[in-house]
Amino acid sequence: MTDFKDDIFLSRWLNDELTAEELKRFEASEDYTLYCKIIEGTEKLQAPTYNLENAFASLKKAREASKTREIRLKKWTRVSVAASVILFLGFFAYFNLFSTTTYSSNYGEQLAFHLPDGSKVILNSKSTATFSKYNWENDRNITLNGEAFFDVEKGNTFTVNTSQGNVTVLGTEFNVNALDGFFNVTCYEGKVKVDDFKNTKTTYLTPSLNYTNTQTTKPKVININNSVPEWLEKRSVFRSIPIKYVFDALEKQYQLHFEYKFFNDTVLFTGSFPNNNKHIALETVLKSVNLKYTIQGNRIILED
Amino acid sequence: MCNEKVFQTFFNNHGTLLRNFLYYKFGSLTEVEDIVQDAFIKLWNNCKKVTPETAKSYLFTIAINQSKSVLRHNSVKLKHQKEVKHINNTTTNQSPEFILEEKEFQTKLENAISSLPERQREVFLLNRIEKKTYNEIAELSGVSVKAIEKLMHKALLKLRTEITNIP
Repeated sequence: MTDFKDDIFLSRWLNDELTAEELKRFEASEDYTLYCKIIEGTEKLQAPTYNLENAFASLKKAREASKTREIRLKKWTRVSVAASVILFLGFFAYFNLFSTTTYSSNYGEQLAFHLPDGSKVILNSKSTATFSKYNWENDRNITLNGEAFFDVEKGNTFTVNTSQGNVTVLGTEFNVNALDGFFNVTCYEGKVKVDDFKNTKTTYLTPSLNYTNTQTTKPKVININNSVPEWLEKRSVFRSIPIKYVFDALEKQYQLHFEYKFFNDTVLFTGSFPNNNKHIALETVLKSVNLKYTIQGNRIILED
Repeated sequence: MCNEKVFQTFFNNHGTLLRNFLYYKFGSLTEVEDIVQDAFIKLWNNCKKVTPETAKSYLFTIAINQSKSVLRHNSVKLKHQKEVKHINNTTTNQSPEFILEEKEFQTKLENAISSLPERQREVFLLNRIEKKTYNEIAELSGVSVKAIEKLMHKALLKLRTEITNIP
């Protein structure tokens, strides 16, 4: 094979850039004819003709197709972005504006928390309060199940909704106890308005007044002389209350369950029991009404 | 460039060259015309950014980049096919009497050209068939003239080796 002095020798040959001497020597080499034949043969080759007209037509078509796809995609993207924003805002609104905050206390437990306006709420045992934390300005309502004491900041009105009735307040301290068929509201400071669902008459309570309505007694307002509910001082006090609500309070306080068949539980009870000693509490309540009982775990079985 | 008439004229002026350029590069037409079409569509879609002066090099750059990714994908395919081809060759080469007629030489030459590395084939055929100067080819594929000259030289050496079967 021919040795070439440089690596572009054949390129220069094709471009007629060889010197006369170089050309002469190359023409004399054994491969020269072969190279010439290669060049000649290649010159005969031709790329298949390219139909420009057809090609342009199909190009235009392909471009239109890709364009509409792009536009559709863009439209779809816009819609999806809008949808996700709405969805996001929706979730935000749902979780913040319409969501509610719930506080619950367990058996024998008391739970204190603040409302968004700074008012203080203390839940007695086994009670639940629900309100909307993030929409408090527009929705000043608390749903209460059980008993709670409210110490309201001045100038803030709100309503406590219970299954038994509503209590509306303006800068005051008051206690609400709402059980099934039992509604008890005490005002300690300021003024509260009581709308009992079972009493068409609206009642206004001023300090030291207590409103009670049960299924078996008529609504009545009595005078008391405490500055805070007794349960905040670890005592439960009852004034002419059907004894079944006393049992209910004991159950909540000590996680008990009363069982009886023929006992008349509408007997009125006046007295108190301590919230920190189960046996003394049971003794005090049940001895006072001459009841014998047995304790089986959490069950209190009353003898007829 | 965005005007359809202007663009069509541009296409008519450069379409064939680009298509042949890629044809020489690939050695077959299969993926070439799709690449040509895509390159022109991309150019058209970006017509606002391109002036008539820069359009040609923009077009070739797009096409070359696209070819590279296609070729990278193809190289795997070719490797497998080569083995199969090799077996076939041994059977046809069994006739020892072999006169180098012009027709046969032409077939040999075409086979040799298709066995060239793509860059060598592309440069060699652009120069020999399209009659493009080294300068023009260098401009189209964005490399130096010196590189084109080297590729030409190598292509010829390779063709000679392939045809004579003598290293």
